[in-house]
Amino acid sequence: MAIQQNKYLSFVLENETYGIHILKVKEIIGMMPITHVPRMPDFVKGVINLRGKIIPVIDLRLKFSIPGSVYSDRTCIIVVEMDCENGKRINGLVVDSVCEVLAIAEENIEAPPTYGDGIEQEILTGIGKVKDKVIMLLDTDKVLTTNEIKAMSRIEG
Amino acid sequence: MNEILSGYMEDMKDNLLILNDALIKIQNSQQDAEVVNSIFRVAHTIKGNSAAMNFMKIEKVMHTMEDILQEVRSGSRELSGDIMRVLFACHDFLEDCIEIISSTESDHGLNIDILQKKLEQVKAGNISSQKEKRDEDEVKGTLYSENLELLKIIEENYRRGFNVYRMKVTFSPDCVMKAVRAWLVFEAVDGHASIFNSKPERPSEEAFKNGTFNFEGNEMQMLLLTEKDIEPIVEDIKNLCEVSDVTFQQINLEEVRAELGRVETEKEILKIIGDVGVHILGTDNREADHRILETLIDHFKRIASAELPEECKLIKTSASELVKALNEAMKGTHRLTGEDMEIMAFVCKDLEISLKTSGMLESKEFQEKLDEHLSIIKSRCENPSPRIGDILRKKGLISDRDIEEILHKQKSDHQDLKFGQVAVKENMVSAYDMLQALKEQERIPEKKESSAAKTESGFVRVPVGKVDNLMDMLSELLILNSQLEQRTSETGIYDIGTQTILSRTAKIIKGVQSLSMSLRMVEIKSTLHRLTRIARDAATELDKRVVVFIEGDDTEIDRSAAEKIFDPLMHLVRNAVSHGIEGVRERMEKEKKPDGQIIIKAYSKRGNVYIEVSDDGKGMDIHRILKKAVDLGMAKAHEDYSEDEIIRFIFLPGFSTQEKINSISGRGVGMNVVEEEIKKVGGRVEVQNRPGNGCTFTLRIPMNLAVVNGTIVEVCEGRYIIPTLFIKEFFIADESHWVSMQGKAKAIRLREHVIPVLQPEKFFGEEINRAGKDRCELIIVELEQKLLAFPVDKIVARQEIVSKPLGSEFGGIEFASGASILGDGVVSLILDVEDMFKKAGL
Repeated sequence: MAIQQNKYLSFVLENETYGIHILKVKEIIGMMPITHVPRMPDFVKGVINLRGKIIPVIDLRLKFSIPGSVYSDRTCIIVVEMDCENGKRINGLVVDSVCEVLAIAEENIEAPPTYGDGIEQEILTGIGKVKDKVIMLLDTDKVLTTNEIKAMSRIEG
Repeated sequence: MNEILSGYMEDMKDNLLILNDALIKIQNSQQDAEVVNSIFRVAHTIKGNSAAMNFMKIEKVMHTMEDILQEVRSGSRELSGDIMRVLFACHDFLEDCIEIISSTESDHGLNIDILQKKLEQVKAGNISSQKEKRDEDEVKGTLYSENLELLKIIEENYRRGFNVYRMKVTFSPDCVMKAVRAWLVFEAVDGHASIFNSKPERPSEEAFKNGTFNFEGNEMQMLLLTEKDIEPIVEDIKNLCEVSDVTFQQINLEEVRAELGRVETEKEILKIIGDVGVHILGTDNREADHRILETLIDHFKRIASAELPEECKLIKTSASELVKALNEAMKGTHRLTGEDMEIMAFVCKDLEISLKTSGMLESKEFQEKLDEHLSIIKSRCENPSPRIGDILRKKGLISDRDIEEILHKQKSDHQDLKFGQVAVKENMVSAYDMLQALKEQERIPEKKESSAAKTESGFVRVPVGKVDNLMDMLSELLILNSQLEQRTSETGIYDIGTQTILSRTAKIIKGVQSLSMSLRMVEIKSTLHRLTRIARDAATELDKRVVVFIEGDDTEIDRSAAEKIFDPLMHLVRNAVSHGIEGVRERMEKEKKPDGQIIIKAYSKRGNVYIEVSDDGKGMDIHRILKKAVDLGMAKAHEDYSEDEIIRFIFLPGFSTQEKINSISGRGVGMNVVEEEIKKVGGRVEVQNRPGNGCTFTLRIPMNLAVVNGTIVEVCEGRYIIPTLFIKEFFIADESHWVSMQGKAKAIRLREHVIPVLQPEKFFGEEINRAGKDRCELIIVELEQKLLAFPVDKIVARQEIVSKPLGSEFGGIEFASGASILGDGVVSLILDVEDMFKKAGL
């Protein structure tokens, strides 16, 4: 466990590198047909069949408002486990491509910046520095909050 | 709820089922030691578990219950009505416990005072009666039992005109020098009467003078023989110092003779037992032949019919059990082996011991030992060929009631015919079936063992989640398999060999799938048997008499459905008792049996489980229902309604024909609730009315709740599923069917109905970008007698689908009630029909 504690799975969106704590990642699967669910926010692509379980899939590009979302061979779905008020949830995150597992020492992680317009920074746990790269570390629990969903559907309804 | 507590609750529920089963068995007069033992074990287990969970209230109740049962088990007490009542109360109490503990996770909310008081009373009732008995025994037993000589002397003296008295002298508690007092009592009696026997024994003069006569008790008992009146003697003794009380009682001749008879029978039985021993030894290790069996039966019969006092009841019952067992062995093809004989010898030994030490009968270990031996021999001798009626019933050819009827007919009309012949004659069973059954009857032994093995194999308790996972994986495997099949055919390597392998795999996967589905199923037994209680309670309350017959209680049903259908069934049974079954007098007048019959029958057919609740009461009065419906404004006064339509009124909310509201029915929620609840599990209710002869309600429930029949449609660039249950019809509309309102096509005309149309875009909350009528395939859905048309782009297929819930992420989505994975592995949403009606503003 001690070894895994500071390991992160890194992935790419456009030209930015992000990281998710390795313990949150259940598996990485290739792109598969996603069933559209009407009336959900755009970034919720829909649901997929993960070995008989139905899980929602979120397009991180759309979530972070990065334009030009086109799925290719390198597009992956990272299946993550999130903690929320009523137990564990399993979600899929669509990313451009998955890179590698990196060990980032505690001292190389900085607190998330407090500047900027402050919309998305709350979903970052910190910023990691590995060699010359900067990796934004995501708090998966906050990628999709229940409140967010409820708020979204209320607007529509 | 933590793991330990939920484990405790599971255990409790299991035990409650066992308790319920056992109580019902006893009610059906199947009382035997095993049933009582099973109740005892339940009380014991719950007691232990509750103590471990620190639910001391439950522990206390169970402890008292256990005490009472222990007395029943040891035979010192009959399973009386009082005890049964209190056991039922305990059962109800435990049900409350489950409810309260599962909601509050503690036992604080439980009130045990009333029940505990009841239990204590029942328990105390026994102790006092037992004590009295023991007192009586003491007087009789110590003074002359086992003493044949003495008894003979008493009898002889009686004939000479002497009287025999039993006298008890009590000294005051603070009396000193008791030996001297006792001596004085003996002296006082002397000269008036002669002392036969006494306690303490009369010491010789020397012994008294030497001081070797020791007496410390407060009480003396003696048997006196005298020609004179006893009063003067009593007076004399009463006048002695420190004598607080003297009682006396004349022993009558009958008592003495009975006692004498008893001792003689005992002797005789001992002799018989000796004879039996000789016979048993005579058989050596060979098989016992008929002649020896007959002798044995004869011997045991004599023991069973011998006149023995109350304490020796056990011996008599044991002997008659043996006679029964041996008789069975005589009839059957089974022969007793040397081993059986050995066991029989044990039983004889036990009997002998119990006779010689008749005072020891209350010893539990002894009784247990005897029971054990008896049960071994019984199980060995039990007729290995089952009765023909049982076979027929197992095959489902006749029911319990039919058997009763046949037996009745056999007794009354066809005494010379056998059971099977009567059954055929009365056209209950065809001759062919009977022959098959007879053949089966001849095939005997291994069946018994398999059923024994079955009970021993036990159960594995598996969390439902695991079974669900298993099912998920299997359906996925099936999808992959079909994808593989498609793939191989596309790439051209699809030869006969591959095809066979693939289709065989698919078959096996399907087999495993249905097996794993069956893991979710439970026998409907516990649900149905609880109804017996309901009927009984309702009947008692309304002062009616009801017998409940249950058929097919081994039918399996989805675990969650088994719980959900209980309330509707309870309503039906209560209705049957309160509305259907007439009072005893009314039934007599109608020449019906005084006991009303309620038949609850369960069976499965084509993926559905059917449960019928029938009664033989008065049936439904169509005119009365119609009148009431008119009164309640549900029906129009001068309209013709068909019989079926009238019966439908009882399912409307607020309908009740009961004038007075009682605690059982009459609030007008009954049938409506029944139908709503059954609909929730995807089932239906049907009624069959037989005016004057009762009615039958049939519930039809899908066997597996997770599986629904769905119709797959394409609409708004997606594939969706509509539960077929709600679909009334498919309809292809052309221009002439559309009804335009305010310039928009908002409804269609279908035959005489005008049906509102819900556009899918409106339903999904998307923008309507097309004209209303460019879709011509419409699905007409029905809910609560309302219709709605839902246009779709294409109707794709209809198939069985496994409904899965959508995650909490989709909590805000109302239009879908769940999702399912289709044959190609893609997820489809299941549309919520109720929401369609809401969106359409209906």
